[in-house]
Amino acid sequence: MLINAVVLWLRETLPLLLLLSVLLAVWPAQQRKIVSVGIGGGALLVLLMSTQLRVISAWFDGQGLEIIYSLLYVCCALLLALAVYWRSDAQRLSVAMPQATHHPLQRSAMMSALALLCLCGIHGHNLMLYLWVYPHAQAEHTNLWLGSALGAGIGGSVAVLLYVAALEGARWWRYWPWVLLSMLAARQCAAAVAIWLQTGWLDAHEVLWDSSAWIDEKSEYGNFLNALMGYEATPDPTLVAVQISSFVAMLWCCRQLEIRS
Amino acid sequence: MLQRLITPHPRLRSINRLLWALWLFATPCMAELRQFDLTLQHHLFSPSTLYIPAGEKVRIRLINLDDSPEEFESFALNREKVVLGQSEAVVFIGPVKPGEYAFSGEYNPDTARGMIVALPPEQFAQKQAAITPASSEVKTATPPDPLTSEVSDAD
Repeated sequence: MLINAVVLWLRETLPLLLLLSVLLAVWPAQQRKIVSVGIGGGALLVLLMSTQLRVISAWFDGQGLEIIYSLLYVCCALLLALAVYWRSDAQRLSVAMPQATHHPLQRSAMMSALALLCLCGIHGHNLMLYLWVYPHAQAEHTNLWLGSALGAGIGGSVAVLLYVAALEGARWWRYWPWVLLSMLAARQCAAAVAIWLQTGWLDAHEVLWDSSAWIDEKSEYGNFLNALMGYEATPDPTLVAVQISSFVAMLWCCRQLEIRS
Repeated sequence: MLQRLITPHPRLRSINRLLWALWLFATPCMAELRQFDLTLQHHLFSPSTLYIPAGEKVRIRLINLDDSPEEFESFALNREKVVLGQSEAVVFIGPVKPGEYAFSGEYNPDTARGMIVALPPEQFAQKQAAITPASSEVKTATPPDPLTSEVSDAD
């Protein structure tokens, strides 16, 4: 139970915390807004989904929850792209009209907070299912909460390291935080495609390669890379195509920042 | 900002139509897939080894007879699906190469575990021929709903 709780918490909180750490590094002046809207709003979304769980699960022939999750993943990626677009607006205005940069920056930070809210809704809901909906035996409660604390702590530590890496990396290569953000956006698109493959909306094909001998998905590195960039040891060709194209598209959005500055 | 978000761009409208057309086209194709049942009871999957044909997309119906939810998970197949208590869910798998693919219940990984074995078509056909009529590994007709039918105490 202890190990299970640690692993489950790590798997669910790591993608969320990695996104949060990169957003805080990229929007340092709007950190409070990002955390309050992203995490606070996400908690409300989780509560809303949890109260309607049976209803949502019954939609679309039992695939309602998958639809909601895939839409949230896509929204997250699109909101991140919008956040970068408005950030580039602020960058452009800072040259011509420095006093007019406040609103685009605020909008861009709000978009990134909403992206975090979407991801919080998905992973928070999964955690809610495990912690509260699943009936744990009384004797397991201590191990459950201890494991949860350990898992959250490990995830938080990794996120802090990424935050520091994003800031330090930006000193050496100014595109580094944007590359991280692009990987995270591509990861959300890949997660949505993975759901559509599972539900049969997209046709699955034979996997392109099997890299489980190098980096197993179940290992620590595999979990980290999955949370950061959607790593799969046995990826479907559709998944790889969407990951690459969304990464390139996001990089292009980030490039506009450079052009408009 | 809201105006720009909700006003459909002409290109978005055509993409929307394409998605609907794909959905309508895909739905009849799904109905022709082979279906296999995987039942979860007392945190144990039954059958623990499920044989499917390799190189073919199949539909697996997850039936949770327990009161608690379970998350069907398979890293090998890249599948993850929460099944609420006393309910069922569907997961599509394949086409996969011949081999063994482990799966488990994420909430009870020690007990809820099993293997999906993808057999080449000839071997699968031989396996099918060896299956007794009472076995429920393959269902091509609509099966009786185990959640509404009586469950034997002997199970």
